[in-house]
Amino acid sequence: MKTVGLARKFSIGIALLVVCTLGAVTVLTIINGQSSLRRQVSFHNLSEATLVSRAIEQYVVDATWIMREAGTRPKLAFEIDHANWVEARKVLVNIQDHFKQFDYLFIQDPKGFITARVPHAETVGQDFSFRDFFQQAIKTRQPFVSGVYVSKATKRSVISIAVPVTESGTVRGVLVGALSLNKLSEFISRIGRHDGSVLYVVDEKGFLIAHSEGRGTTPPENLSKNQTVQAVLAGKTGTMEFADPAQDDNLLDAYVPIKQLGWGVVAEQPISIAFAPVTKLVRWIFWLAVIFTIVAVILAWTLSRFLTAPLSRLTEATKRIASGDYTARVSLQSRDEMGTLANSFNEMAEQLEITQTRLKQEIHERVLAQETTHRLNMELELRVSERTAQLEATNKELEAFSYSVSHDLRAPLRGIYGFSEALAEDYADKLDEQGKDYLKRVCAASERMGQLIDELLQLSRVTRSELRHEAVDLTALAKDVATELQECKPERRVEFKIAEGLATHGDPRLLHVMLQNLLGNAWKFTGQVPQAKIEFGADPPNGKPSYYIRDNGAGFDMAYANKLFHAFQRLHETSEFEGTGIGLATVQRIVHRHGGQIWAKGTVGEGATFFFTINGNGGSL
Amino acid sequence: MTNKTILLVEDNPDDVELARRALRKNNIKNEVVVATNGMQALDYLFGTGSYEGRDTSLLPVVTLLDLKLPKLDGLEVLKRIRADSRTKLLPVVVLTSSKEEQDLVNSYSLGANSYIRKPVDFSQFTEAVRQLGLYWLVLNEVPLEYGGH
Repeated sequence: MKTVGLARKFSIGIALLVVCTLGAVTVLTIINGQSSLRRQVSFHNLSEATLVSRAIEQYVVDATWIMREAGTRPKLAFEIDHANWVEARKVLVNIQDHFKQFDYLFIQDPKGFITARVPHAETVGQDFSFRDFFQQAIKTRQPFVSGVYVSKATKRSVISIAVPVTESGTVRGVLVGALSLNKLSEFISRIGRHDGSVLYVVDEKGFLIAHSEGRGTTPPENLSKNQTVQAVLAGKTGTMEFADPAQDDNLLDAYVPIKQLGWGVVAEQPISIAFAPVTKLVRWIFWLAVIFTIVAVILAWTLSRFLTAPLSRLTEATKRIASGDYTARVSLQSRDEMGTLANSFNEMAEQLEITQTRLKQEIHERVLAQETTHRLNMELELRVSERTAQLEATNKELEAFSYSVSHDLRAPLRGIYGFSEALAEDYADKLDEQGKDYLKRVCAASERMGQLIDELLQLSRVTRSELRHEAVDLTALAKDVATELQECKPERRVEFKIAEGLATHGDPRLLHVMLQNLLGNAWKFTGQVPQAKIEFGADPPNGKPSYYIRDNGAGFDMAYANKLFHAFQRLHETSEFEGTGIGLATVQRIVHRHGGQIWAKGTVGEGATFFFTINGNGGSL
Repeated sequence: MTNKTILLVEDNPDDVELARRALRKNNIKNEVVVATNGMQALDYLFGTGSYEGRDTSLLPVVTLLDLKLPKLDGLEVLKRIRADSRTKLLPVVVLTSSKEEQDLVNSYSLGANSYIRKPVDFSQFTEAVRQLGLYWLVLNEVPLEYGGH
């Protein structure tokens, strides 16, 4: 569809080009041809009119000369003088025999009466003194050429040449010859081209004397209103173009005056006829343009189809690729740009196909991988939820266990302690010292048992309880613990050195338990040192510090450092330092639950230092 | 004053004896009625079961309630005491050896008047009971309707 569009555009373009070119040529031809034709026609008409004017002048001058010659012949004067009209008539016949241009000839006496006439004598004896040519000939004694008028005898338009006939200085009569206007018309019609152009002659009053088409000379048509006639009678030579209302056409006139006679000659041609060659040429050009356009369109169509055929194949292949068919190829055995394009296209399609295949494979693999991941995740989630459930069950069991321990272990203990106490209070007088000592030991043992149970419960609570996250002022906590310790045994002298501004994020309750244990340990193990010193600080003091609690107490052997944080592991004899061996295990759990680490350094007899870190975000179980 | 009883809800005979001794030691002469499980305690209070026909207008001056009891545990007993209009103002002191915070919170939220941990150190226990005797038995600050009908 698109290729057809291209061909159509191409063809229309070519047709437009041809039509425009031919149109321009036509317009130029018309303009140029018309102006050149107008010049040519004007010139031609002018020369024709000139020729005619000269010819008519010559015609009339010749006739006048003939008349003058005849008029001066002594024989004619003699016959007239003697009124010998038969002889005179013979002279007239002789003239007409020799010079056919005269329609008729006659002789007037000095009073104007016709005395002789050839070829017919119908008007002889009539008075024609009113004719201007008679009066002028008598008056000027010179030949005179009349204007056009209608002859009484022949009823035809004529012009007459009158010459006086004189004898011894006296006018004896007037010889008049009437010139045939038919002959004049015939003459100019011979000169005329019979192509629609006309020639005509007017006399000094504007009456039509001769016309190449033989128009309107009897009676003579008055053309004095005609602007060309007016111009030529004013003695002007030239050309003019004016509208002819009768013909709906323009007329091109050339006019030349016949000065000797006061007449004028006009050559007239309608523009349509004058420009006929141009019109014909334009028609030719039009048909040529039509043919050229048709041929050009056919050629352009064929050529563009030929040129766009590879393009349409390329387009087809491109469409196939666009719709996902990557096997589309273009076979084009051409060495031009189209061939190169087709080759490049095929390479591109090849690459696309390869890439597409790879992509599909990759996507497939990814989908598989995703499915696997999803399945693994599901399994993992299932396992996690299973484990969580197990863990929750375990926690519940542990809770129940702890609860039982705290109640059920305590109940017999309370019995042992309570009744030992009752025994000591109520029956002391019935026991000897040994018995009292035993009772005391029973009490101490049960008290220690109670302490053990408490600490075990604390350890399990530290593990189970939910971790809170809030800002904790470690310095303040440590000071509280130190004060508590001092209050329990006011007699001891211990120097506490607690750094200011130690703060972190964590569970304040658990951190309190931790400091209670660590500071309590330091307090306990410096019990036998005279100048006890306990220090709490951080290194480095800002950023993410390691906190430390240092004492100068009993210390420990580094060989057992790895046993410090295990429950019920003690490095000292109970008789030396009391304790349950659970405290540091509890501390370690608290530190771990805060995402931190704990470790210790010590030397026997020189004291111990416990380091710990706390991850501000806190860890979990 | 001596006709007012103390209801001790305790299943452990040792603890019963120790409690009796502590009360005796502190010159508290009130009759101590012992219920060894929760059901029995409610029977006593509401005159049902083995206490069928008991004059329920004679309420104990104080109830010492252990939390860990067979059949019906202490918290459930407390809940039922508070749910009944006859006993909803009865002074109840929860006695337990438990250190569980949850027990404390539950006891108070169910309307326990006091909470005394049974200490292994019996002298502290005696002190606690003596304080109870001072407040509830000796000074007798029980609201009037207990004394009256």
